Amino acid sequence: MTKDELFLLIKDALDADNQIDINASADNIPEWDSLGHLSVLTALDDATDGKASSLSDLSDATSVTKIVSILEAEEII
Amino acid sequence: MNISIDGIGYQLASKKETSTDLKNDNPEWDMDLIVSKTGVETRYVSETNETALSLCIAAAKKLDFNSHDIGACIFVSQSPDYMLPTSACIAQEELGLNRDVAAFDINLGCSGFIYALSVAKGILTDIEKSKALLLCGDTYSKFINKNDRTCRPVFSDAGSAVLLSKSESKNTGPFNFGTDGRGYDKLIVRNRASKVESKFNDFLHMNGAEVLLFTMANVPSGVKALLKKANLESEDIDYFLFHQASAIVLDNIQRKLNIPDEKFPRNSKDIGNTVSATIPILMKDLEDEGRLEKGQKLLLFGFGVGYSYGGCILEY
Repeated sequence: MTKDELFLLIKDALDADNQIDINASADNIPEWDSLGHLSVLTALDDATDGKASSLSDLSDATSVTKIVSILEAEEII
Repeated sequence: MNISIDGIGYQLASKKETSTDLKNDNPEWDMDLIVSKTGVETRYVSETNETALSLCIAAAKKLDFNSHDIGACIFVSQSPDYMLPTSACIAQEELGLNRDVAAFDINLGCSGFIYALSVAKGILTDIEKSKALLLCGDTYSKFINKNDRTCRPVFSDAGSAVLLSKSESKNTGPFNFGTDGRGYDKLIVRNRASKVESKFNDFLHMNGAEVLLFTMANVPSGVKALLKKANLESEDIDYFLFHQASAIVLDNIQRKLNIPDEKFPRNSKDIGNTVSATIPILMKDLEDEGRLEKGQKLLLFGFGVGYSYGGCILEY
């Protein structure tokens, strides 16, 4: 998965009006609330063939920067 | 020896709560968004005088059985009437069961029905009496803050009762079970039992993201392991009956296991998540709709608080 694909995945999961980039987070994307984060997690799980569900740090990773950091550490992106 | 299900009854709590009720208490909530994620439109909330035990007793009274045949009464709940005594002892008296009955509680939530089925099967093997009563109920609403957007839209209060019999013809099992205590504090009620943790309140707390990750990581793989253990393929199962957690959880499980809609029934839209009672309630609703017939092969799977999960194959 590339970073651009990740941005699109998060935008679709949140059904966000704004573009998602590396600076996006729950602080600046209104749709990224606790319910929206559940959609991000299920979308990540689908896109990584289940690998994301074993990454418990994702549970509170409510920014693109954090998600990228976690996925890069696991060589998923 | 195996067991068969002879009857199922359930009792929902008396107060029906709609999205409008939740919105009235919490004007800032976007109920359309919440319903789209949870799948729950209405839920049932217990009145002060209603408890998990009283709801289960009401459910059991809907069943047709001779109390002399009952050798075990198992009550599964995390909202008992008392710290002690065991609620099942009270059920024994209130249901007029004989005194030579094994009556005890199991403290489990969403996986509890499966565990109790396995325990009941074991007990029925060891006793002369032919039947057991399995009561599953909870009243989580008594622990929920009315402004909690994670818990209140999802959980619902109900009691169920399942009448089990010894059977030579029906197959029950195999079972599989799992526990991950690292998640003990992800779905928890503190300060209502022996341990005092003064920095926390005594409401139900759920970390929805953590619980979702646990579910996604363990349930699909657990189902696959159970099918393998039973030497069955997915196509051999007539219905997959999962704990009715919430829509977002069930959608993920269904997608990962590629189960068609007709084999993946749901009823949480109108009832909500009734914890250990969801699976028996779902079975009863299917039976009442004429969709569940004797002899069908079912895969049951419960999961959640603990973390804990359990699954089994059951010939209805």
